[in-house]
Amino acid sequence: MTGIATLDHGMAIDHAGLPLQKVIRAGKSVPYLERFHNGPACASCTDFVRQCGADVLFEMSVLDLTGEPAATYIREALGAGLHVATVNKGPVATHFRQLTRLARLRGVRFLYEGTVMDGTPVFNLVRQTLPATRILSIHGILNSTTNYILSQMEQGGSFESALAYVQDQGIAEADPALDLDGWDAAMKLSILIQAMMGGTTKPDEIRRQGISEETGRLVRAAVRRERRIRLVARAYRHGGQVIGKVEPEELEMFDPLASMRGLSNILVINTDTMRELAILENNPSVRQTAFALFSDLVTLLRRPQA
Amino acid sequence: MTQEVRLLNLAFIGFGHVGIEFARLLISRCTSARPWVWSAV
Repeated sequence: MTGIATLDHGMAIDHAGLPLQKVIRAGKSVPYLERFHNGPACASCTDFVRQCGADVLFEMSVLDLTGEPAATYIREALGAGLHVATVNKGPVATHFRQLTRLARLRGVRFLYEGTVMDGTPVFNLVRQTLPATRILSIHGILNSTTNYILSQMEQGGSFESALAYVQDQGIAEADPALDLDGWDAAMKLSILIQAMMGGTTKPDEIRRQGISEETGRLVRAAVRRERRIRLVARAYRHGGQVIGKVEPEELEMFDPLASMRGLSNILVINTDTMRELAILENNPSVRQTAFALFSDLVTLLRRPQA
Repeated sequence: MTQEVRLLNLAFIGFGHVGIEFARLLISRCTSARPWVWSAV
C-alpha cells in the first residue's frame, strides 16, 4: 500500500509502503493520515494519483450524481497507466463509455463489480459464464436502504426508525435522498444497461419514482391483500434502445422479488440462452462491499488486460 | 509464515467504512499464511 487519500482525514504517500495495521488503528482524528506521510507533497487528489506510485487505484469516494470528482480521479489514473477498481456508482454510470475506452487504450483494467450488489458476482458472472449470450431484459431490487424501510413498514415499523437504522449502520448513502428518491437504484440500473446490454441509458434518462413516508399507506394496503410493495428496477429493449425505470411496484407473494426482505437484493436476468437467471444477496454488510474490491484485485491479477 | 507477498502497489481514494474493511480483508488474505487464496490466481 503506497498511498491513501481522503476528503476529511488528509492523505499519505510512502513508496516503501504504508503501515496499514497502524493506519487502521490510528482512528479518525482529523487529519490523521499526515503523520504517515513520507513522500512528495500533494496539493490535490489528482496530484495524489500522479505521485502515489501505485499500480492499482481503489476509488471509494462518496456517491455524487454527476460522477465527479471521482470520474476525474479515475481518468487521471487510467491515463497514467494504473488499473482502477471502484465501488462508486457515480463515475461508472455517468462516464462508462469514456472510462472503459480509456482503459482499453492504455492496456489496463477498469473494474466495478462492487457498484451493483456489492461483491455478489454480477458482471463477473455474465462476463465469465454466459458466452455468446444476449441479455433481453433485467429486473430486480437493487437498493438495500429502501428495501429495508419497505419491509420494516410492512411489519408495522415506522419510516423514520427504519431510515435511522440504515444510516446508523452505514448502509444508506451519505445523502439518504439518493436512496429514497431512487437515484441509487437508477445509477445501478444504468451501469447494468451499459455494461451488460450495450445500451447508453444514463441515470437521468431512467424513469424514476422513489419512496417516502406516504408509501407506508400503500405498503399496509398491499399487506391486507397479501401482496408486497418493492422498489423495482427494470430494463428492457424497445425499438433499438434500452429503456430503464425504477418505481414502487405491488407484487404477488409468489414473485421472487416479494420474498426479498431487509437489506437483501435480487437481480433477475432474462437471456436468449439460459432464459431467466436470478442472483440474490442476503442481508449484505460493508464486508461484502469490501469483498467486491478484493474480487476485482484478483480479476486483474488473473487478466491484467481486458 | 507471516511474511507478506508483495504483488502490486495499491492506493486508495477514500478510507471510510468500505476502505477500512477492504484493508482488513487485504491484511487477512494477502499473507503467505494463506497461500490457498492465491493458488487460483
